[in-house]
Amino acid sequence: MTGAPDPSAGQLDRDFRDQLIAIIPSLRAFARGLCGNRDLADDMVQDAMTRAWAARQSYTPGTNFRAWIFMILRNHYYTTLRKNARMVAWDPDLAERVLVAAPTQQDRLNVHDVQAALLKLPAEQREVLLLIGANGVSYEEAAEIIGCAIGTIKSRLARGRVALAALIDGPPLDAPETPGKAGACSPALFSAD
Amino acid sequence: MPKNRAPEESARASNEQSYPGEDPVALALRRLHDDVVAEPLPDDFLRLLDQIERKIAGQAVEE
Repeated sequence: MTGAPDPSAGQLDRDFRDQLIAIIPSLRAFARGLCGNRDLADDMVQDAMTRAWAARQSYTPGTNFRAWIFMILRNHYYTTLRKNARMVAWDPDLAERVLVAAPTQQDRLNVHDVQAALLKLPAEQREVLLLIGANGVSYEEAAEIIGCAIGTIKSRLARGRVALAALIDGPPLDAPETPGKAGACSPALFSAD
Repeated sequence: MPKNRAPEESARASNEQSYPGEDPVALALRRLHDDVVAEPLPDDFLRLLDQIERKIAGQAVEE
């Protein structure tokens, strides 16, 4: 019989493998940003890849592979987080010390400072900042990955940006308060320079 | 030829001016991503991909 060639299971697997290989760097960046720890992040990515491979039949070829596998990684991150409350990588102070010890380079804003600040944010803001701000996914795709409305994504992103900027640019938490009115927001956010 | 300047001390200030109008936080987020993406793939990943490769090869034999 002729007709449209029906891709064999082997061909589908090879296509799946190729997509898996191509997405690894993005997965690593997302996981690293979420937990702030290279080894832990890489472990999570490998777990997610193993799960994705085992569940490859549930992926419809031609649909958004990135959203599909980011969803798997994200679910795995939150499951790990719940299971292991003692996981030290999520202690922002410890994470900060670990990150400071990493090799540094001259940056406009030190990426390690940004990573440390990210870890102090609520996870729901951190993941949106990473997906859209770092990985460059669209609002629509982020909404698909996280499983919420686009409006929710936008508001989390807006709040996350303000909070991140305040953590990076704002005065240290132990800085003496300026006498007078106690401002709710860091004045650094509103300065023109 | 650029005028000599203290390389380390002036780097931060001058870099902040090199992308006028660009949000430094947005830039830093992208750098965070790009730095990881630029890393070579650790051996663990290559081993995992090898396992997948063997599974595909095993299926091909069965077909």
